[in-house]
Amino acid sequence: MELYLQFGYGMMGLCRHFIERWKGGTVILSPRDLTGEQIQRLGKEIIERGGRTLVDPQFYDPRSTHYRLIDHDYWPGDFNTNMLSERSAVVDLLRRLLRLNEDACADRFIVPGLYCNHVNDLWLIIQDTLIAESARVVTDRPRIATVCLSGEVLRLEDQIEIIINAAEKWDVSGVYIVPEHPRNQYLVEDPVWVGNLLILCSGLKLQEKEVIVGYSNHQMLCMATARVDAIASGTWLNVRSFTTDKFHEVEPGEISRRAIWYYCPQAFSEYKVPFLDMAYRFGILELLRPEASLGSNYADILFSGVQPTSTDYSESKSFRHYLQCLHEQSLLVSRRTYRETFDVYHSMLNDAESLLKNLRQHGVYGQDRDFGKIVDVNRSALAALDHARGFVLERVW
Amino acid sequence: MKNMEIIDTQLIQLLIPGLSKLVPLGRGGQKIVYRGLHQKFGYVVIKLVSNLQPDRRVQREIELAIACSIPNTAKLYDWGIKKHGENTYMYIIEEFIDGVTLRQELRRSKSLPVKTVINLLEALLDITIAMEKEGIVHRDIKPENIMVCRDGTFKLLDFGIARHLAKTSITPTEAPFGPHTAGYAAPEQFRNLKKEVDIRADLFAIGVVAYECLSGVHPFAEGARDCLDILSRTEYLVPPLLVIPEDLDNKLANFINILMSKYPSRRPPSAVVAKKWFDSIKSSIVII
Repeated sequence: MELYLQFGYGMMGLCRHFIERWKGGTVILSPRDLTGEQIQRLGKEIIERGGRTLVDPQFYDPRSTHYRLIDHDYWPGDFNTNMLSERSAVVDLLRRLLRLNEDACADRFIVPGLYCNHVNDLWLIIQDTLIAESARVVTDRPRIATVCLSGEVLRLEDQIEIIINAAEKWDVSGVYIVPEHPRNQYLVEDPVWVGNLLILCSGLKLQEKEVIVGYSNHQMLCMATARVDAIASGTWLNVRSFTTDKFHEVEPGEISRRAIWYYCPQAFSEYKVPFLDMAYRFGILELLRPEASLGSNYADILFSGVQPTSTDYSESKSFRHYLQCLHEQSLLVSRRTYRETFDVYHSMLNDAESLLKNLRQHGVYGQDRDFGKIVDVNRSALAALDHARGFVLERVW
Repeated sequence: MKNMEIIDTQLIQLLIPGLSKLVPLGRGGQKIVYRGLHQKFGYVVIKLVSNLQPDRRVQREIELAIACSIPNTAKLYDWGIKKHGENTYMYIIEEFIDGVTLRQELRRSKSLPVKTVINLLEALLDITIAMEKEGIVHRDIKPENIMVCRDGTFKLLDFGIARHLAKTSITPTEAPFGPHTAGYAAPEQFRNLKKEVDIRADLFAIGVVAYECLSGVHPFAEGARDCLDILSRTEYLVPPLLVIPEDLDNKLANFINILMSKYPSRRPPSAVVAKKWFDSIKSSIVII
């Protein structure tokens, strides 16, 4: 499973850095965060460094008044759903998007898709229309359908199966899933949500479609058990979990109060740096050091022998460390067979659980980014996947 | 108004010359079924429909029988439309299969040995592969429509509600329920979700038949109050995994449960794939 970079605020330098470092990789460009010119420029830079690009149309709510989105050429000035029944309007939208994709040097075209809070005939018809018309407009590169689902839809197994059934007839080579986290949770505490997402992804993979899960964080490493091709993540929380809020309001600019977090990959948890001081005090800081094989030296300074808060571990280092670890973990967790992947991920969860217990005993807490309460969530979700598809995935991987 | 005639052996012999030794086998709706001796074909089954209104399902059966050649099904020898007085009749003459229905066999012995069920699964999956190739869905696989021949082989009967996927459906789209037999029909079939009814609906029925044969118990009908309750159970109940002594790793039991998945996407994607999985499981069954 690959890690794609989900572009967000302030990520230009980071994208260039990692595409060079990884000697490849994919950046999902964001019209919400980039102007048309920036998309063109950054797209070329990514390609020159050996990377690939995708353009996320972010068409979840076409009535959005987000100032950057509406500034783009493809964004409809005055949207109403009748537009989607007018072929010329749909074709026009897709043609303009195609131009943006060409500017960005994207080698695959993400077909726009509306946010779905109920899988009904209307949403399905719109989805079918956009996909069908995209086949006529975009003939020079593979197309990927967007499936943007509300937290509620993801809780309902029947709704997920309707999508899987409908997708059998979609003439696309892949699906880009944008799953809304329930109640704005960063780490989702609902095993039904995670389990249904696994079932959805695996169902689409069994149709031999490419599957990308956008706006992900490390909790989505479990997607490897569904044979997902890539998860996409980034720096700020708004590109590590999806909510529609960020596509409606105007960005407030700099986020005023923010802590710097350290990601401990073997615990699947993030810690504010003062909690590393606690680990340092108890002599267990080394337990939080990432394995050398993950290739992240961005956080080395925290383990240099001095109190972590006295170092200049910065936000930039924190983001780079997170993404480097996640990149390596994504590759590590994907194995040759379903059962191997399942067992490896289970083993990682078990190890994380032991470590977290030890850390908590010494007062080292991740607070709302502590994976302790999520271990059982993901275990339960995996049980759901195994029950629904284990037999099949063992035979078709 | 047309006078309804009584259909008896005399009328049949009048309509279809060359028949003798006629014995009634059953009656359903406007259709009656007889066994007889045909001077050309030997022992045959005659299905006759009084055609007061054109019976499109029988016509469909005929069209399918002519257009497709599915192995291990009753051969179609002849068909036609005959008038007698004011009445019009449609008839089919097909191969008589010497044996008992699987239902009769289950009544006699309650359940079947695993070796027999493996042979049954093999036969049914081979039939579905052939149907899949022709774009047909049978839609009525159940013990009553499976013949256990004297030589131990199995044949599938009654394509009456089979659906040729490329042809227009007979059931109106707005009908709340599609044609089905409760307990054997997959949810997408009895809910008349036409776009979703493909060979996987037949795989569901095969799973139910296999489960019933091995356990002696129908997974959805056992304990059900009525027909609607059976339909409801088909949608929500997950049958407990069978315990089959010869099936050491539960592979066969799991395979049968996969066939009976409520959602088509969780069953094998095609008959060919189902057979492939079955073949790999067969070798792991220890028959003593």
